[in-house]
Amino acid sequence: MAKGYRYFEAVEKHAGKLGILTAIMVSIGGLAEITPLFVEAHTITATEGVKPYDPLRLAGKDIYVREGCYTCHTQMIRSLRAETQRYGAYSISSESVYDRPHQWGSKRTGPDLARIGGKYSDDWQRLHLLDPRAVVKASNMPGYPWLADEKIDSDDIVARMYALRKLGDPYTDADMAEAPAALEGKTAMDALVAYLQGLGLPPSGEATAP
Amino acid sequence: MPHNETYNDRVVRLFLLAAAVWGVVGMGVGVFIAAQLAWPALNFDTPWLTFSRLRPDHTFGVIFAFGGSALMGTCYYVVQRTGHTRLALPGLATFTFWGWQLVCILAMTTMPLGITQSKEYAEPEWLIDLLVAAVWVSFGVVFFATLARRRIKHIYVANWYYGAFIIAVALLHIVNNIVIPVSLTKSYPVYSGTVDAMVQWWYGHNAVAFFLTAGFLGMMYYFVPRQAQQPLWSYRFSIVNFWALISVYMWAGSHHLMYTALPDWVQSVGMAFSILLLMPSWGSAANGLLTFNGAWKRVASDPAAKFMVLALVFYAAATTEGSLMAVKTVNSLSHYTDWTVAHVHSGAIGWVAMITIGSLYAMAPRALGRPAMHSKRSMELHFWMHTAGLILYVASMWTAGVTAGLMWRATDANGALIYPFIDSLIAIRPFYLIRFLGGTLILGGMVVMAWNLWHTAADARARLIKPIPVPIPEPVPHQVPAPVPARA
Amino acid sequence: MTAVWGQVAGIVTVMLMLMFIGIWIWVWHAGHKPKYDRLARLPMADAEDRP
Repeated sequence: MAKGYRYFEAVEKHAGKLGILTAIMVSIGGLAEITPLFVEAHTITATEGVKPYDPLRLAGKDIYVREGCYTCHTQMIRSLRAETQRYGAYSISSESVYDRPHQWGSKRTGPDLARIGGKYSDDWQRLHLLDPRAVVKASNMPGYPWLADEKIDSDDIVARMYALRKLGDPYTDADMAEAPAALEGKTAMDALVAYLQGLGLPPSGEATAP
Repeated sequence: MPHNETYNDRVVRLFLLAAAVWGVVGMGVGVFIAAQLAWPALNFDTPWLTFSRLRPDHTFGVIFAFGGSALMGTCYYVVQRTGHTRLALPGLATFTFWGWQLVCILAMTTMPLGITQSKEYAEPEWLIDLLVAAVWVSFGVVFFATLARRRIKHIYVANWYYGAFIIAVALLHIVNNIVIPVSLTKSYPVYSGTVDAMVQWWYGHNAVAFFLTAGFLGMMYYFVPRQAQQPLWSYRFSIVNFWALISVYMWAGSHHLMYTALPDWVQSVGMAFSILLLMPSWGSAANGLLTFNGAWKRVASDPAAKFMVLALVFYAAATTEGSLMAVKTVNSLSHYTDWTVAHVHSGAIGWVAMITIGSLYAMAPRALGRPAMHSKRSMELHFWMHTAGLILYVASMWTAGVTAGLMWRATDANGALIYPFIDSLIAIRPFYLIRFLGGTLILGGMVVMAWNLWHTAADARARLIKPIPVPIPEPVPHQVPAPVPARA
Repeated sequence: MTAVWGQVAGIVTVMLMLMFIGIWIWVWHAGHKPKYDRLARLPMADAEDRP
């Protein structure tokens, strides 16, 4: 038994080596898959016409993020026939270049929303968010009635646009200047509906051809 | 020179208590949100009680609060026992406990208030992320400093896994959470769109790999031989598995993004490495199970060992299923459905929770200064409640997932879709009810465990525990490391 | 994926494979057996009946 107790003086070196080797081994996989994407990311620019979110839709997107809609809805139509038949043309990289974070999701307790824009009226969306079972009887979606009472803070949204510009989103000074007016008197509900109604549509409002 | 060095089990006991409490809390939230999916009226139109805000509380609560506390506690226990040395830097070790509890409380209270990044499994906002990083680095410092003062020359394999777990989680957490803050409660990630998706699932998948697999394998490689009272079936095999596991896992993250806008070659690499992963996964599971060979009689009369055996069986099953689901053809059916939920939970409730519970039952009496757990019968009860709940949960969600997946792709003779989306939800609603029942059983089992631990901790609560001396048979002058005095 | 990246990926894969085989050989080296056997008994040292 005593043979096992050789006091080992250079142990730190040994533990350190183990740690460094481990760090190298775990890094290889991530580096190999993510680095080329970074390189390619520069070549993926937004398709012509895809602009960063206007202030109201940006506010709406952040409400979508805040409420955690990704827990039940995806925004990623896969390149499978059953998916394109149900939801429209499959999603491409350039469509989500302004999504921080991406909202591709991983679970569909409800349907995909990547091209939900324009499929229902604004009123339907509003009613559905207030009380989902008023319009879809079998739905198990929660209601979000508090959104209708919540005013959008335009200073906050402008600060967010500045932060996004730092990250490279092409907002102009004019965009910042016009933001407070565009957000005047809007509620969180207005913003979220505007965001949903813009999903999958180019800014002009016309549906993309499948 | 008399030696009076004792093990620092105080911080281990604190983590043990925290794990029991967070287990009940995290799974309690899980049962509640499962009920919300079956009965949506339970959302009460109240923001902080809404499913979409509570679901991150469930995942954070069980993975990081329950799993994290159990991992840190057992890690401190194992690194001392396998190094025959007292934990280094006791003050910092205590800080990791309180720091981690603060992280958990802050995360679990801010997320329902809507302060979230909505990055799956990395929801807490940037301020909490900074605190996580600080605690995690301290945890690493305590762990490696303890390794540095160990008296056993070679580092026992469980510590390799714990070490990889600490290093990789630090790397994942920091890279995935690089953001630009807008205010105290809002930030934007520096990544967007496809790159963000890849970084997120590189993180998400490897959180499973290094938090939920490597960490718990560390637990397994120590507590399974200890409970079987037999050495590992093959120590050499465990080393081969270690290097294979840590180098292969990191490649497989892209299997979460099959058929998406992610470049096709990344998807294919993810699929190939996911199939390769079968080897180290089965290797570890087989090594653990074969360690019980010849001790099966002991297993039949020891509930802690039963938890461990079933954990290993579910580890093998869940990793097989995972590799299968990473095959594109299978993934096209399973992805976005409750099949994924079934898979995650056979891993989480089957492997992670059961190896944790088994290890806690094995460690608790020793750490709490008792010959055995307070009630063996309640351990048996816990085992059967947990197993029954697990089977109900996994079977119902698997059926629900396959049902929904098939309905989403069903077409008639003309090639038109047969079912509107809502029909798939109506079809699986009964399974949501069964899942809720399964979850309730599992939660009940956790309450039984908490009760049992509370009574086992009677001496600890009365502060009657005698510290356990570090076995140093022949202390020599100028020994390295020098023995540290025991604390009263 | 560019052609250069494909070459790098191929080389890395072969190196990982060689490393993996190397670990097998190293670990199964007969000289390591007594050390591993001793290590594998460590968890059993922590029991009531063995102070």
